[in-house]
Amino acid sequence: MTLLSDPRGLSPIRDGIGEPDFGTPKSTSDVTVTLTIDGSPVSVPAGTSIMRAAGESGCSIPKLCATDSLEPFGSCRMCLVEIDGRKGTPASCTTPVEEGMVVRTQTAKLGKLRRNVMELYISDHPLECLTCAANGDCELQDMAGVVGLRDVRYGYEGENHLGAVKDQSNPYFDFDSSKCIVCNRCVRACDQIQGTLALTIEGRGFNSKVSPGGLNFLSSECVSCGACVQACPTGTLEEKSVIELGMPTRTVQTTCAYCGVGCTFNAELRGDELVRMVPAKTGGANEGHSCVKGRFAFGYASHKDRILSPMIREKITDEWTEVSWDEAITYAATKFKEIQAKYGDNSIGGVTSSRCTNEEIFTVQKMIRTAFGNNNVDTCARVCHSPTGFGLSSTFGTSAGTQDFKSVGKSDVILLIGANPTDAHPVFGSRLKRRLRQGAKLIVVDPRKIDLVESAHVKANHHLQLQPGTNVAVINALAHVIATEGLADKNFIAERCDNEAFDRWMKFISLPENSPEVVEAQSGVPAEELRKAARLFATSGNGAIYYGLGVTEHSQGSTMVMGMANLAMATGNIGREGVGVNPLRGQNNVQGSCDMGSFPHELSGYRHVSDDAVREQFETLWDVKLLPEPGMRIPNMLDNAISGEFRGMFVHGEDIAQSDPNTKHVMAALEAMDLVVVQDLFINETAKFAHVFFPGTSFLEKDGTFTNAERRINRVRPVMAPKNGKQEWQIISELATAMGYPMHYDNAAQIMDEIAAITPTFKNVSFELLDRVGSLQWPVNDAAPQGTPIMHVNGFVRGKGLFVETPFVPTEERANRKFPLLLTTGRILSQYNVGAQTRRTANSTWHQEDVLEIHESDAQMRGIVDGQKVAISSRIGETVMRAEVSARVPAGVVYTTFHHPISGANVITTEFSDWATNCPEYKVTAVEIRPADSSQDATNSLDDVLMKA
Amino acid sequence: MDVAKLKMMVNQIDQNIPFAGVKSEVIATHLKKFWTPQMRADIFHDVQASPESYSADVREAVTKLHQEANA
Amino acid sequence: MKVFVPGDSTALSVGADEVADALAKAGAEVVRTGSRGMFWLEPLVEVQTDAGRVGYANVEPSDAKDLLNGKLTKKSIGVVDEYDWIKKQQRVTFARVGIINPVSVDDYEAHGGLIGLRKALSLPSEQIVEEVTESGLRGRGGAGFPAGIKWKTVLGATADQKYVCCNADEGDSGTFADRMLMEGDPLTLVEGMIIAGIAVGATKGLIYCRSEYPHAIAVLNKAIENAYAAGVLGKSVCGSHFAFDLEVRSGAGSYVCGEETAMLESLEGKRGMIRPKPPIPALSGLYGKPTVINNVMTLAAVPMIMANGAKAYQEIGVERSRGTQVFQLAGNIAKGGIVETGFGITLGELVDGFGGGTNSGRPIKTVQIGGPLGAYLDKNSWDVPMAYESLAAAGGMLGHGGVVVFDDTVNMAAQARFAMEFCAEESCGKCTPCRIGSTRGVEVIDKIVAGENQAENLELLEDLCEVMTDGSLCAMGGLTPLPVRSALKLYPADFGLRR
Repeated sequence: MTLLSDPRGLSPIRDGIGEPDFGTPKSTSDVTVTLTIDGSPVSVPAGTSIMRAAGESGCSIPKLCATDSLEPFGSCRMCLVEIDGRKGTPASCTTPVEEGMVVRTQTAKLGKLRRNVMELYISDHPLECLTCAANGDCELQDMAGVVGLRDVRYGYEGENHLGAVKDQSNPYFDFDSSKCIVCNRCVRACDQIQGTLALTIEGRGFNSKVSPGGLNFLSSECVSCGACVQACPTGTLEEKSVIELGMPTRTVQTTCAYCGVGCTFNAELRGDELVRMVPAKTGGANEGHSCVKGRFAFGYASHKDRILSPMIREKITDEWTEVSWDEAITYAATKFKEIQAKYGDNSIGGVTSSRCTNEEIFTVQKMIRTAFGNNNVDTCARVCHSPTGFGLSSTFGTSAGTQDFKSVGKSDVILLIGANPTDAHPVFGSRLKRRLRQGAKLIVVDPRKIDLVESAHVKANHHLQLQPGTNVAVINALAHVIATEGLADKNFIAERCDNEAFDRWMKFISLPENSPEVVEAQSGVPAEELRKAARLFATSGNGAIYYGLGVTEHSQGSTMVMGMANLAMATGNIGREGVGVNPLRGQNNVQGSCDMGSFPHELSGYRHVSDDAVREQFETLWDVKLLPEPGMRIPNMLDNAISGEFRGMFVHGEDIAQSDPNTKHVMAALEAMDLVVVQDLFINETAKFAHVFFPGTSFLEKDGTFTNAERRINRVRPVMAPKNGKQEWQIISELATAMGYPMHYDNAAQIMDEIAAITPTFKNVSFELLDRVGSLQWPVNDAAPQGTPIMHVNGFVRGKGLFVETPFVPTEERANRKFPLLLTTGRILSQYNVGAQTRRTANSTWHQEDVLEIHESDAQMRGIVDGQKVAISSRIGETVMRAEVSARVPAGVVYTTFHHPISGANVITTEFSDWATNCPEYKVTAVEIRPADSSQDATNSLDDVLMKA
Repeated sequence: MDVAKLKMMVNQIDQNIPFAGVKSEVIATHLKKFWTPQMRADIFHDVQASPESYSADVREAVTKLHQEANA
Repeated sequence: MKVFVPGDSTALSVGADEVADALAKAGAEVVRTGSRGMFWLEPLVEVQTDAGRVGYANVEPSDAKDLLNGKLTKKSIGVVDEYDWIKKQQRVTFARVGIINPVSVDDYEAHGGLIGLRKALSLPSEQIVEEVTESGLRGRGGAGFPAGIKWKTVLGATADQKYVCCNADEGDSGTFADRMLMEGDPLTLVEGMIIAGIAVGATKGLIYCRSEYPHAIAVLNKAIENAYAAGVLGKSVCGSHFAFDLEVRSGAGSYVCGEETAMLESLEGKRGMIRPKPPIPALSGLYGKPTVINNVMTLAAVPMIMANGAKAYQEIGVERSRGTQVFQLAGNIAKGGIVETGFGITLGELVDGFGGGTNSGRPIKTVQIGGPLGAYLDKNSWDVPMAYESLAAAGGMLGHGGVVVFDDTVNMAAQARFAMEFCAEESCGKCTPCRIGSTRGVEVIDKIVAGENQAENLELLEDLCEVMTDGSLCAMGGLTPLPVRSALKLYPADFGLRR
């Protein structure tokens, strides 16, 4: 077994395969306490447990119920110690160190007590270690050895739980109660780490038994985050993959490729076979936690649907032909060159993928700017967080969130807008819930009653249930209250912000049109609620804003981002822990794709192409002339494809035919092009229109970095060799070379070196440094060699914070007589985006299809009953889904997810978009719902479009 | 390029763009920063053809950009 | 004619309600009171006379007319206060129980109530705490921790909210003092809690009462309601600037919730499981806030201490056991009930003197003091003074003051087995020695009794007792070996062993 090297150079106490476990959480105290443990002096922060102090000093105390991700519990009684001057044998996990304390961890008395406790454990435990899946990874087994248990004098005929029935209902792990030692670690993990509180102990005394409540794990409230499996010291909760394949034999630390949280995982393998993904406690973003996607849903990487050979075809109606890499690359290069020769340099372009590594993205945009010779590069961030970049750079000076995730642990009031973290960013959601359970206040701004509005031990103080499309009105109303009730942080504003802009903003925001009373009519949120929420935010201490696509995917997305920035500045909530404005990024590398120069107007590090000095640096480095004018955005490319000016496109790991709005329009554009090159794992919807297919690499094969929503650059390490034979940056380099621009890298580290050399915010980043410190939050430069967890600490990046007037301009997309309901979209926990990965895993157990949530009154009015198929039509298109009558949405609003291509949610979304960035207005579509005539409609919707397109 | 869409985009910018100072200049800067030269040329032609579809600020911004490009 | 009929559960169980009805029908003015704690005399009806309250024992409904007509002389015990069994006692905490109308604030005040509270209101917090410390009052729940020191810790803690929690989860076998006080003089407890609140800066009190005491809960709630109405509880305690709110919470049938940290968990709506200490509840108790947790008897002693001064209380008792102890005589005993007296009375005086020997008339074989987890003592301990230290020296434990008597027909192996069984039944299941050990304990005792590998199993039982005593998280598992070991030591023959 490979143990990760411990930076402290200490012998690790094993926890699973990789990381040391010191039994109790680290103390954050600044005060140092010195005590004597087994004769040696030990100095630790005050508040440290004796157990941890001993562990850190290299003398480990036996333990079973303690693990350093959980608060001490004191139940197993293995860790008893003797303390001079104290009666009895206190548990070392629950006893904090004291100055001058003299502790003995190994005495004859303690040895006997521990052995006797272990004897009790084993008297009710199956003796099948040799055939147990946890053999070799079982703390009970280890401890039995440590305490020297030789005999169980009670015999095995007494009362026991050996006959307990296994619960195998969860697709990813089994629960074998007969092996349970009732240490409560799973229950505590579910409470303290995940915050779902799905597990409990049933019965008492000898009959105590871990229970998911209800029938079994699958039917319980369990969200399969894996925290319980991770916490279990025995084989009671065990991954099915371990049961099937056996214990892993090696570990590679890497980064999850799902959402923008960017969790660090230890990929545990047997040879080249991935057995399990275990969240790493050293992970900066996740600190040992995970969700059902990252923890378990990696099976897609080896799914039979994956394409591993390059393929080409003349026409999209032809069958694919498998060809060699050389042939495919030459074919694509020749075709691109032919198009350019015929229609001009500007007739081709490409899209980078937020699913890919920084190094891959950097090479794609470099290929476009050099080999393609234009700036027609865009990224899928266009359709999610482009307004974030625009709004935050305008006001603060940086196109990124201001905090690290840990910061939420210091927040006193949290304003959550258009985000649903417990589904879409679960590991952050758990952090947030932990803080809420500690007493932080929560204000939710969302048309839908998300879980955080009310769930186990969490209740929002205010749910501002606004009409879709009225974000700006609501944020203005909140700011209006703060401005007009004298709640603004005058000192902060005077010192840190552009005062002229502030004065203008004050005049604007104080206008009656921004008052809660006026906004009530626009948004449907009661004025009094708006006032109370504003006061709560302004007066509760550290106020933090977290937001998601419910902010950006609107015609006023950019305005709303600026509105939130205004609110944060007005209340002085910028530049320290616990505050800030923080986007929750949808994809693993949205931040990175933006940083890497994927936008048509910007080079890496958000520098405009028109900046001669910047361009010159690139031109010198790349030995090529760059265009000083912005290139086309995705919608421009598609529009121009339809009009015939744009004829060739390189689509890197994005399924624009499914994820972009107005599917019919996208498909028509794709079909109109002479050459569509798609690089992906699977034949996705877009690939159906492609002429060349480059098989991609899964995150398990990639070598590079992802940058998460907190600007954290995490290493992605290859767990196995690329199944397609090549790294993606290699393919891109070869394509660029074939097109006449020689591009070559020996490895991904070289690409990062190039990024660092040319991008000031990445100046000191290198694989070597990342491997040494784990992760870094940019800017990483001479001023901040260890990175920047929190931005704008001593001043805004742009100098003074800029207040921007944000008048509310309602979207053109409005409910009307023909389309009286507003459709808004979101995500569900078990599925991810367009579902290409998660649908190819057992995650579909929880979510087999997208459903339409509809309020009871709207359903009744239309004669729709729960579970019925309904047709959803907008002025753009029509699709069919199953209706779910739900109290989560208010009357007049319907909601769905877009994880399944069959649902074709984007068949009905419109061409409206953010005024500044053209981020599509996914969150507001006027629709009408009616019962579907026949079940046929359900399966036809997308195929119809495909055929007609 | 679909001129109707460009028209919609520029009018949306006109409606939404925050400004301190001269609005037409702010619009011009935005278009210069984010629009391709082709888009700016196309919108100029449409502004010429049907000025009534645009505000004075947009007309001024678009015209100014055109003049700069051809200077 | 004014008659007093106990409304106490014990009296009700032998027909006190029916007697009260009959007396009312016969034209008497009936006042319901608590019980004097002489169970063999219940229903004990008292009649107001110029000489004092004259008692009539074991009254039946059919006695009503005779009683009112003064013809029930055969059942008269004379003036109750002069009755020897009462007269020999030193009733401090129980001074009003059986005498007053439990829910009447006026009656309470007329009998010396609220004097302590009024005095406390006039003193700085520190001085109240000092008074309680000086009185030598120790926790009556069983641990005997000095109340004043606990209060001082809570007083010294800074927090936006502090609590006073009364542990009224009286679960020990053979104990009923808490119940009788709550049913007979609940306002004493209310007053004690308010004083504790004023002393430590707590504005909220909770009484955690076991659900098996429905009458006590009803009486408490009524008394609290009346105390609010009289301005004793609420925003302004007796017109002062102190606020104190009080409510009763009902347990759910778990013995271990009588352990203070499990009680806190239960009060917070969680599963009744032991919390590790530290942190101590005085610093991090209910909802993590500084909390005074005291037993009913501890808190009920406070008003008298405040009213009469620490010195008066401190003068009673022996050594480090000061004041009075409310002993409860139960089991196979002729005269069961409440004996409140200063610490230091001998076990023999209690059991033979007050108790009058067994009810069966057979010889006493053993006495268990301090509940189901207390040690068994035999006649060799008859001279042991009933006080914390001297009992501990004799291998026993005072606990909550319950004294349960067994005659010579009891099998002590069965009693030892019962101790393990009780622990298995009531264990919260958190720590391993208690959770698994208690079940194994039953099995090992069975093997010993069955004569199976006796030597090895005795050694195993001893090891088990050791790991339960030293390894358990709380007193539940930690004390279970006490009755087991004492039974084994005193009565080996009952286990089939030779002495």
